[in-house]
Amino acid sequence: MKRKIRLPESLAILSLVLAGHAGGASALAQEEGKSVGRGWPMAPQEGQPVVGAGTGKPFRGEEIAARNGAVPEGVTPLPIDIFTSKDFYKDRDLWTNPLYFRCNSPMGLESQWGGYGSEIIGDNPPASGAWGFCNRDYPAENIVSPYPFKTAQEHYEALLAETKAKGGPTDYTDKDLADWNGRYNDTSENWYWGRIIQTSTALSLLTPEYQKRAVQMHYHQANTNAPQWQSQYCWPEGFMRRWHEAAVRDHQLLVTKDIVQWIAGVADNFLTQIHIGRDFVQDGGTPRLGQDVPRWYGETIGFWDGEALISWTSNIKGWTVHAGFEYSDKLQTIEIYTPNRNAEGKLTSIRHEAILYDPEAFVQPIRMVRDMEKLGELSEVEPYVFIECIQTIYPVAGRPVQMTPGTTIEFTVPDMYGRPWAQMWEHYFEQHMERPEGEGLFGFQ
Amino acid sequence: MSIWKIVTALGSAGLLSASLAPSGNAHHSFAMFDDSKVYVFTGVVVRINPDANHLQIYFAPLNEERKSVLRDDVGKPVVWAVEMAGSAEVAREGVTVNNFKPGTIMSVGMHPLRSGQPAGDRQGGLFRCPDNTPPEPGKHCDAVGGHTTHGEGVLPEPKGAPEQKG
Repeated sequence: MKRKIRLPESLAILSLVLAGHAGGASALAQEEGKSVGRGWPMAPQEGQPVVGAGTGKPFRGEEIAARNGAVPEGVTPLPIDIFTSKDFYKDRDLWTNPLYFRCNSPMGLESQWGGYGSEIIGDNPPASGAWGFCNRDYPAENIVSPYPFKTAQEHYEALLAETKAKGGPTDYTDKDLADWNGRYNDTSENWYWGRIIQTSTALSLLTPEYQKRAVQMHYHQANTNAPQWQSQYCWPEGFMRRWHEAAVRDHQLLVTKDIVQWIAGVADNFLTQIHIGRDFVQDGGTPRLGQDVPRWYGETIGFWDGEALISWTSNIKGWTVHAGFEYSDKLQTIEIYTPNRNAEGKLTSIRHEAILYDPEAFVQPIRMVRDMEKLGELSEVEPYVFIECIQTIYPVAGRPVQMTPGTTIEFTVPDMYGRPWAQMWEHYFEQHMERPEGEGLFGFQ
Repeated sequence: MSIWKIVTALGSAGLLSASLAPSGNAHHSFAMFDDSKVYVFTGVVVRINPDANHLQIYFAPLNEERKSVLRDDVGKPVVWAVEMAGSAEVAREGVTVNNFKPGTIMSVGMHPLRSGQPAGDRQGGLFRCPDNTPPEPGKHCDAVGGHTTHGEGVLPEPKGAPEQKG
């Protein structure tokens, strides 16, 4: 889906957005419709129906359209789908059809074998995999960036020019810094979690190579039951996991004159340091602050436009997100933080809008908008827990298993910079498949 | 790709790790567990690992008479493990290193690993017997006067049982 939302359409759904969010405070940031590149409305995600299939708390109850060999009423299944295919590579023409995934969301595919605690794969797995709801989705046109920019740099420079035209950027001193310090939590629904979106819709955001990689992941979660969640082996979580509900719990925000810092994490730590007023070095392939080395969580610069904090992150190490998709070293983001305040002017949450540019992975820029609810002041809350991930799960014949201390296992050392998750799938589960050859190192021969 | 054999010397005892009732912050898929089976144990804690992602308790199950622990063919105690939510989360339930020291007698239900290895993911509440007070034969800590309950739910009904000796 390549259609972009144009401004008039955005304004037309503004009333829906405002109605879709509880409380007036959270709508404040979205009313800023005048900027060249921030605050434009996004169709409501809160309250969107769960696509399924799955059951339990992550799905807000049981959301299964049909299970154990049954087919939802009115649906004609495809002759072959992700649960019955022996070689998903041959099914490329079907990947954009929701029926190929039995109308499952990415989370629904993960839940088939019990990924979230309740198995729904049925009595004849994997062929008896459950169905999600074909009439539920969060469309791609809601997800792609509504802004006219082709690159993060272009976007950042436009926002900076807009700010300068108003006399900015705002130069805060230690005494008049924003009152944002505190503990926050991400409580708002996000399409990126894979709960309210069809798998085929998520795929439509991706380039052909990254579609292939995503379907490979979905196949080995739904069909072969070989999930390779990054943090289960204490691998890095990667930059894009910081938007995933299961990867971050409490967020600690510290605001200083020079750096605004977010730290969060569950299985690993996510550190975002926004360097205020600095510029990227532009003499290499990727804009950066430090040496020419990709960073797992990138490097970030930013500036203040009144109460809005505008940032640009670059120099990110490409990686993957389960239930999401892979992204490349070319990923860059523009992120805007704006405060939501109650009638008394007290900060209640921070609206976090992110526009993600990755020309290698995404067919066009995509967007996420969420509200970070303030839980308390740093002087009130429990100390932040820094995570050290202790590995207890090891891959055995391509599947994760919790291992007995003292056990001797056969272990293939993965190439951590060569899609280690895929190495296991390809070695243990794809020997019979006709995997398209990538462009190798030796194409000159 | 080369295959390297490595030895994972993960601890001194023949112990295993386990899992937890799925929380909103799981860091691994729970598809490794067989949720068609529920094992219920009463056993003696041998170690507790307060990992950030999942607190794990290692325990030696007691026999049906509740007189001694189960042992393997060479006489070593059989050790199972149960994984639950992150350490900070279960600390709010009173499941801590200090409250479940080695020697504590406890009862717990779990979905076991599909692989057959002795570990599982906690289901329901965790029940702690009073110190040095095992239950009556065939009973669990929830039937012992003075027990404490940790977390929500009762002990689940067993579905299947592991092979046990002793």
